[in-house]
Amino acid sequence: MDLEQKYKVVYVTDIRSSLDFFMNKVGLKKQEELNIPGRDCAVLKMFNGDFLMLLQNEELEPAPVVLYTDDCLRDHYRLKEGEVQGLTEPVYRADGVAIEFPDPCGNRFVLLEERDYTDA
Amino acid sequence: MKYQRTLVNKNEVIIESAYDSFHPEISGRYAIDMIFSGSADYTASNRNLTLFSENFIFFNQETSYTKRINSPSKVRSMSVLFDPDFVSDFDYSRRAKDSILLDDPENNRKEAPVFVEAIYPLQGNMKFNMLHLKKHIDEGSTDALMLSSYLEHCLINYYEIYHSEVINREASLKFLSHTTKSEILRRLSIARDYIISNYNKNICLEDIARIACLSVNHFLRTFKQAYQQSPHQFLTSIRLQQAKYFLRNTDYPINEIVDIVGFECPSSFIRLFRNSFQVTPGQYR
Repeated sequence: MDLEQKYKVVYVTDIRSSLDFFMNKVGLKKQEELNIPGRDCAVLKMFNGDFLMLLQNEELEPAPVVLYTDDCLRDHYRLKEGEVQGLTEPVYRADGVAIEFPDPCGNRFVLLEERDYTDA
Repeated sequence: MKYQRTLVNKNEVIIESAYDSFHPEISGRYAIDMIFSGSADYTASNRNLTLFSENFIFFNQETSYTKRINSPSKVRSMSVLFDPDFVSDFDYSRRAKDSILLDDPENNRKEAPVFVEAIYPLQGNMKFNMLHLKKHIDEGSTDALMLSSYLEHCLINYYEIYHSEVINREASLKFLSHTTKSEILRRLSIARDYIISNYNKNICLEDIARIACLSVNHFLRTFKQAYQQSPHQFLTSIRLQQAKYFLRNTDYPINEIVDIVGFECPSSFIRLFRNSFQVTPGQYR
């Protein structure tokens, strides 16, 4: 068991459409589906090895969810190819480069490629 | 030797790993050439330049240049050759107002931009994006649309560097005439490239000023205005940056690195390194 790996929990109102979105548009791979009493739950492996846990819920989190990637321009291209509505252009920030996009349930995601500019 | 050419629409990316190679008379496209390890010699407009690891050089489409690699260790380099129309379109889309872009998206009268050609450090977003591009090409990607988006971001990053290294520095020169400012910065840029190309040799102020076609006093004064440091401080910072590269990427002893980067004695190198980066070379390694 790798204790360094992190789980990011995101509430979704329709787990099937969210799962389809993250697997086919964003390009994440499904790790497993969990049986939590009364709720559907799916776990996806993110680009950096951490996990994204989609949990069926009636309410969504109001704050944007930050996901991490190793190549933001590649993912922006993939999402653009997938004609994701609401996708922003890559923005260079002090901590790296980021894009924003919504999922089918209305969650807002920030996909960030962290960059250490100290020696680069 | 590895020589891989990848066409991205009318642009081209060339990745090369070689001990010995010669490419004469390259021209017709804008070029960003970068070195990941080792060094390569360039000749352009009667200037002899040496590009060292973790630097890149920019050439305009009308410049004819040669590239030569001749090294006992393998030199890894990448050239991004931009089609003039690609750069003109990019430049037009950045300069023109949105309303003009909507009314006249093609604009047949758009001109090919001309930049001050110079050597810059390969760092920040330019470095990250170019390493991603190289990785995709190394992995065999031929998706022209995806590779094209990296080339577009390469230009975005280059324009940002150009703005801070040329436009802003030109503005900081204390002359009234814009033409004088441009000409002085062009000459300072030649001097700067000479320092970078010869950072590991014994170079003297008179030679640098002569290369820049400026008197020594005029050169010293304007260099400081433009770059906020003296030529000697600039040379020291280049040597320290290269020393950092060797500390990160090789297991050469520190005494050898001191020799390679052109410092005279290890103790002054260690003192300068510690003063600049708040760690000793050994701790940094």
